[in-house]
Amino acid sequence: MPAKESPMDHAVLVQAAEWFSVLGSGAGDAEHARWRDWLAASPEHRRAWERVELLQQRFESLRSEPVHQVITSAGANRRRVLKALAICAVGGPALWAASTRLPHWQADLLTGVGEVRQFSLADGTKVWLNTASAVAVNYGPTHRKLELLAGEVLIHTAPDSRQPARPFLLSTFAGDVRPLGTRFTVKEAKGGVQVGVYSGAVALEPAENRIANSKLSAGTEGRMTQLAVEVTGPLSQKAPSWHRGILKVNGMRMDVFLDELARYRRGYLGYADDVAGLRLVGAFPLDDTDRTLAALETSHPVRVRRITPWFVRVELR
Amino acid sequence: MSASQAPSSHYDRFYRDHHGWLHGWLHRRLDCSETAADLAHDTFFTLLKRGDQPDELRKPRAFLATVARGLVVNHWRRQDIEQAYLTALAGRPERVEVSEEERAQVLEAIHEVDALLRRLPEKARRAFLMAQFDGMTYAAIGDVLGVSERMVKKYMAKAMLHCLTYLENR
Repeated sequence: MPAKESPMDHAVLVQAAEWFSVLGSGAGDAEHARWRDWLAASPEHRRAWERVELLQQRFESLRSEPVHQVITSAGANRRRVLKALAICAVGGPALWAASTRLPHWQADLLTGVGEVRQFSLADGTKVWLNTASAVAVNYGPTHRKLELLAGEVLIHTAPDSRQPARPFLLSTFAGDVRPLGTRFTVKEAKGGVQVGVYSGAVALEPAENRIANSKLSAGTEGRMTQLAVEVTGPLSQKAPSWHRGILKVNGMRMDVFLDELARYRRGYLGYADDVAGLRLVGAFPLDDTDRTLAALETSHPVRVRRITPWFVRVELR
Repeated sequence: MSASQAPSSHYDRFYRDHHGWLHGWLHRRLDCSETAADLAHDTFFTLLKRGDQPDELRKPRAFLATVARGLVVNHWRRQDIEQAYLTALAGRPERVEVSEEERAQVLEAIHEVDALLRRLPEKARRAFLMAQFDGMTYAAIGDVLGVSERMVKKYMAKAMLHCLTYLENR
């Protein structure tokens, strides 16, 4: 495959996959005719279909091999391994990946730049990792412990399947976060962590000042440093959106927005001072930040200067 | 990798500080010094490829262990696949002579298919495997899985989309 091919539109890939499924079901002449119409309608459709065919050729070459048997029987072993590690990677809509992703990290709580992934832990707790994040998992007979090593995480805890229930703890460099049946986000931010509670409540305990512990309830946002906890206000959104690959904003300043967007890109994303105060409203895709930047040019009086693909600056038009 | 992208001195120091520890960590889990050395190398290489700045990692060893654990899981998975493949070959009635090289190629292709389908939900993966490799009809697959033909059709579309997106993002 050529190194620099323009990315395929996701919607077209969806259509190609649908056609693959329809044609494989023993479709009649009428459906074949509709499929040919679809192919003829756009070169992008044909490009997507070429990929389907390429895959089929690869599978075809293995037709005489016991692929199904091998993959499924080896699966029994895999489940044991993953269970031992209390980790199971889950696919789904939150799955769009950085261009440099290596296949090996698939069973890990780790994401590259621009990647967001969902994981299910052995107890049913769901964990979403935002771009460039890492979490270590340590589940034992008497504890369920996660450690935020980098980035941002959204956690939806499940009641423990074991009795007595093991306490759940997320530790960060700034201190510990103990959820009380809940959905919450924790993000590393200069000198501390920012915590948002979407349901339930969490107890926060600063690493160097344990007695300054404090509780955050649903709908609030707070900040913890190694010494203190402060409630910073009500949540700006009712639910997080990054785990669905979207950044939703309602009156966010341009400088805050661009700093946020920069987390999903490799290279430098800068801006001129005079664009910083512009306000944004809307939902922006995070999986294609170039598209988001292009959209800004039509909705705001700004232009995006691409000095190199790795060095981009937003300026007043 | 070209010479201009050689690891910086940060990486050099990072490597010196933690390589011995990581090798030991892996060796305890793998019972094989050689594999541990390979995976230790892959761990550092993964970090380098990700573009992580080693001096910015607050807990470098916890981070290395997280990456390494993924590599260990992957390594075990490959071993499981190899074992299952050899078992399947041994159980075949007709003994066609296959060269080592051909066998290695087939195995590599199976690893690829496995990586491609690994993150699909169980039923969608099985439906796809039965259709693509066993040549079964959607009706027959539905019978095995206990779902409707319509559902099998959905699984097939889902699996294909998964493969296409996976390749697109790689």
